[in-house]
Amino acid sequence: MEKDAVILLKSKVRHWLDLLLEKYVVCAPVKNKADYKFTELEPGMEPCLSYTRTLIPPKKYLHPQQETLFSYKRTDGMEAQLPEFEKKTVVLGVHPCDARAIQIYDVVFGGDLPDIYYWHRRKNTIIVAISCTEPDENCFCMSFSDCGPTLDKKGYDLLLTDLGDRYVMEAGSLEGSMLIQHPGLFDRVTDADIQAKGRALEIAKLRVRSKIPDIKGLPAFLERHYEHDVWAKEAKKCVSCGACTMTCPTCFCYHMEDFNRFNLSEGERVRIWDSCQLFDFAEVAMGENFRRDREARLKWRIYHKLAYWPEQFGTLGCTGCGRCAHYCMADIDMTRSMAEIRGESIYA
Amino acid sequence: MDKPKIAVYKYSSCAGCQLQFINIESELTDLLGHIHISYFKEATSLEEDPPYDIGFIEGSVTCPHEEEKVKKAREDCKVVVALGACACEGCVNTLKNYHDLNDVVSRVYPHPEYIHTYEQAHGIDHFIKVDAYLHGCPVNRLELRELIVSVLIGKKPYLRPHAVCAECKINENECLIQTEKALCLGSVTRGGCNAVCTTNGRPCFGCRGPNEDANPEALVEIFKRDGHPLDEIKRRFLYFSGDTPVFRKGAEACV
Repeated sequence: MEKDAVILLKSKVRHWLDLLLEKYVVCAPVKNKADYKFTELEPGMEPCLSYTRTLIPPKKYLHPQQETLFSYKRTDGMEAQLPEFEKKTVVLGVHPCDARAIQIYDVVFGGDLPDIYYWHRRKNTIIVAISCTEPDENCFCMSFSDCGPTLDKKGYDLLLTDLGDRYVMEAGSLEGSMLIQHPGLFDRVTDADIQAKGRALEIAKLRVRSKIPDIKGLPAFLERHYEHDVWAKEAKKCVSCGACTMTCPTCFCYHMEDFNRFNLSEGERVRIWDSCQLFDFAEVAMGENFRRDREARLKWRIYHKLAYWPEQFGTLGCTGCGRCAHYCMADIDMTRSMAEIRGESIYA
Repeated sequence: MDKPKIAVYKYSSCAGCQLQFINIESELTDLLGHIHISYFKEATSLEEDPPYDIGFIEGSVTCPHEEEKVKKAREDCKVVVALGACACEGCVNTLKNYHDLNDVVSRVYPHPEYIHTYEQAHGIDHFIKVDAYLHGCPVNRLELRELIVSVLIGKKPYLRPHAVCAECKINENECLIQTEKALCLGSVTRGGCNAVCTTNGRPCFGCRGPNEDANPEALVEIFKRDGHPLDEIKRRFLYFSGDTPVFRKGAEACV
């Protein structure tokens, strides 16, 4: 344990980053207008590791918003050109909710037919997580038994926890431990540091509301209340913009399209993020649409994550990051809808 | 197979959409290898007689003269494409629809008596059957390419039917409604523009007309919650696409 855990004083973070930048592409949250945005760091650029949430989760480094799967050219036969993949990337400052979401992604993009594009990036990605000490009123990771403001041995290569003037850094893999091998840069972890970490996480835990009680009974609870009035009420407010799914760390749906050039012999096959909230998502040949009603679409997202996901993937499809509520312009919050069904007083 | 004959027409509009044809630039010669331009006044002085295979019609119809011409164009073309916001929804030309015509005409022209115009301007499908729509003010060049190429190879073109918000989020923009309480119509407006306005910090004015299954009443509630005066919300809905049922519904919900 000792060998794989070190202390990095905040005054030395810049030096550590510069060393990382020599070897890797480093992406980290930087301040945007209102929130934060995972951005590739240029030399000298300062990341912000003390943040609440980014609009788009780090999933974009594994499953980009838009990606060319291959380009093709008609010659005598057909030539296809696969895209080149990026070099080794350190994604720095991943919150536990987003790191857990990547574990869920691993299941979704794994299985019998692994997605080669995803796995190529995944194997090239080093996840440096950071315990979350900045939760806000939309966070509800504590609802899930395996979630909360830090990670336990799984889902990261290196885990940072902010202790005020220093970070404690714990390696979760060989690749992670390679990031903390620079002699002279790090200090030894003391008992006082371990105690400070425990205290910081206890405080963070107290700041996260649970919001969804009885997770085990949730699929049955949702099935029982499929026709509850609250869904129609929320659907009336919904503009079907798709922000809840685009910002969700576990949403993975994409649309595929061939874009051809004017010479009619070259083109690209592209996949682009799609959203079940959009009307055309469930439309098939001849205009049939499985989820024509807004209410059906609104419910689908919630029911898929919390009721159907366990059967499909063996886990829940939510990590309580709170983005769907936070980025909804119409103030729709599924945890509040469920509280309303339970007849609880509604917190704003 | 002979190359399809293309005609590009212009009625009440600024010519910015047909300019997008010419803006294809690097691929223009490739395109000319597969189509034949028979009539396109902005691009060439060559004019060939109809019939044409595909007619791209830019502009709204605002006067009897244009109505005659657009009906003739329909007869002359096998396929008619409405090119851009004016042809699709009427665009800003429809602003006059909500005012007294004499007042509107005399504000612009020193001799209003010479002007023979309709009380209302409309998109071309008010007068003729339209086979395809390319939305936007101006049309998006990639969508223009997607439509033409898809027609040439016999594939259904991918023209985003859903809200601008999808592309806005893909571009990682913070929501202008949430961060600035902007009067942004992105959630009721058809995408395909790569959210060009909101990505550059400007709210969506709805130039591409309504997306499928838009919920304008819900958006009006959001604007009301944010404290916008009703007449301003209404004006925003009537600005570019007020001549569509969806945007009119939005304007009518401002009570």
